[in-house]
Amino acid sequence: MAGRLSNQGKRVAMMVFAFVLMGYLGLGLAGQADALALGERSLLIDSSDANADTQHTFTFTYATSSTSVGSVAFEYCTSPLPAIACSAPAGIDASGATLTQQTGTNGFVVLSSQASRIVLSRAPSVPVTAGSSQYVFDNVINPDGTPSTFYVRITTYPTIDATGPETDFGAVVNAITSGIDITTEVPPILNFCVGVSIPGDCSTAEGNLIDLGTLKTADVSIGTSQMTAATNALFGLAIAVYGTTMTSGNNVLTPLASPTPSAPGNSQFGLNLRANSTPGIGQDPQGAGSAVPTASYDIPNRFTFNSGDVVAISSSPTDTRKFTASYIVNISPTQPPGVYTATLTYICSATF
Amino acid sequence: MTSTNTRGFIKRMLRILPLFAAGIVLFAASSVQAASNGLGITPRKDYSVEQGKSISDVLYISNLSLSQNLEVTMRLLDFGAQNETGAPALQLNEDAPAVPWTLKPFIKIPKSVSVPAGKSTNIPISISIPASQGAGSYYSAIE
Repeated sequence: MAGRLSNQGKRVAMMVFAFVLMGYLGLGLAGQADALALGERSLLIDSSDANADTQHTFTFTYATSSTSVGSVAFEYCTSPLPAIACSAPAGIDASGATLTQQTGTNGFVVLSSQASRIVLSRAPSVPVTAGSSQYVFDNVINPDGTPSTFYVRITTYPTIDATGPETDFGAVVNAITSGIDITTEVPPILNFCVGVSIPGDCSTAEGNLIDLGTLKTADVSIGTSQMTAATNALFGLAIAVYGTTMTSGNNVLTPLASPTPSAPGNSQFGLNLRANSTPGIGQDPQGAGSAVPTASYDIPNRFTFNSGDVVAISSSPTDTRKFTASYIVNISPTQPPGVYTATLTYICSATF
Repeated sequence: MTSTNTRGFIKRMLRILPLFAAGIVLFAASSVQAASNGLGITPRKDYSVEQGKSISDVLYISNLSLSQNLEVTMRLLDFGAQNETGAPALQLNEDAPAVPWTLKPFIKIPKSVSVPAGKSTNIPISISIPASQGAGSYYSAIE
């Protein structure tokens, strides 16, 4: 028979082809299996912001101790798989990278730094495989985050220029994130409290009635109240007093229009915010705050009262400041009898 | 007749000054016990509002007493400048004529609010500027 291959011939031909094909695949697989995997690999980037000029730190353990290492290549790709052609992540720029630190297997210099590939080179010698090695690169421009994940293929070579057969291989992964912005605000607050006494903070303020007892011409009658104020507002605060002098029907005690000493036997009503010796009453302002009595209410042993007067003020934020208001009441011998009362309202507000 | 565009963008600077008022009674006779109080408040708010527009906001009140609940009543006051310190001169007399810069006709606030001991609350306020209102700065206080 001429011109036709017998079935036996066909079967033989097919077997030979299959043997050759398998042999080729076997050779190819045997070649890849020689490169060991770099151990304990990591990539730390100082900033994960897109396009940031930042520091990349590679850490890994060399696997092969019997073969010298003359160069290490760091190649930025969108896939870790060596079987897939490396496509550089958009925006990566390692062309200006500088090797600022190396530990473990060292002695390298930057042979070349391209946009997506850095090659370190040294005189070939066996690497340190006990413990990790680390290489720190500054001035690496991050990818632009599209996609957010990127890989770096790390390959070691016995040659000094990252050519020829590979010794060890490994890939590391990292990601570019947009970050999370957290903002908050501390609002301006003004705290104020008034009481007959405030032993501690505002929660301890108690009493709003001062009993001056029976008024006498020979002696001054005295009383105190306290108030605390604080604000974190930039514009500060002001405390003003409103009200009337002590009255009993149409009978009044003379309010002291200007700072005046206490003079028993004369009709007087006034207050100040200082410690006094004549009479012995009151305390100076207390606390770390910056609020201070205004001039008319800041003179020891001088008392005054005008409704609407600002008695204390701070033009800036102030910690808690405690003021003790000292009241004096004197009556003249001709003062009509009666129950004399006064209601004083302290108003604390922001300044403007 | 002018269009909205040619009328332009007219802003009013509005300033609200919350106040805290507390009283002390001096009594030359027998004494009566009553509760004292302490409050934390939003001290000042500034707004810019166009003609014909409204805004809504909240003011913060905190009851600093840990044992006494508070019933807080509120009213609007006019004020002017006390002096160069920036302290306000409050107009406490409700019968007094309104000042030209009053914000009182345009603000709505609740009449009262309850604040439990040690708690805080937000007070809703709203400001509505009439479309015909002239440009300028307006101020009021909430006592």
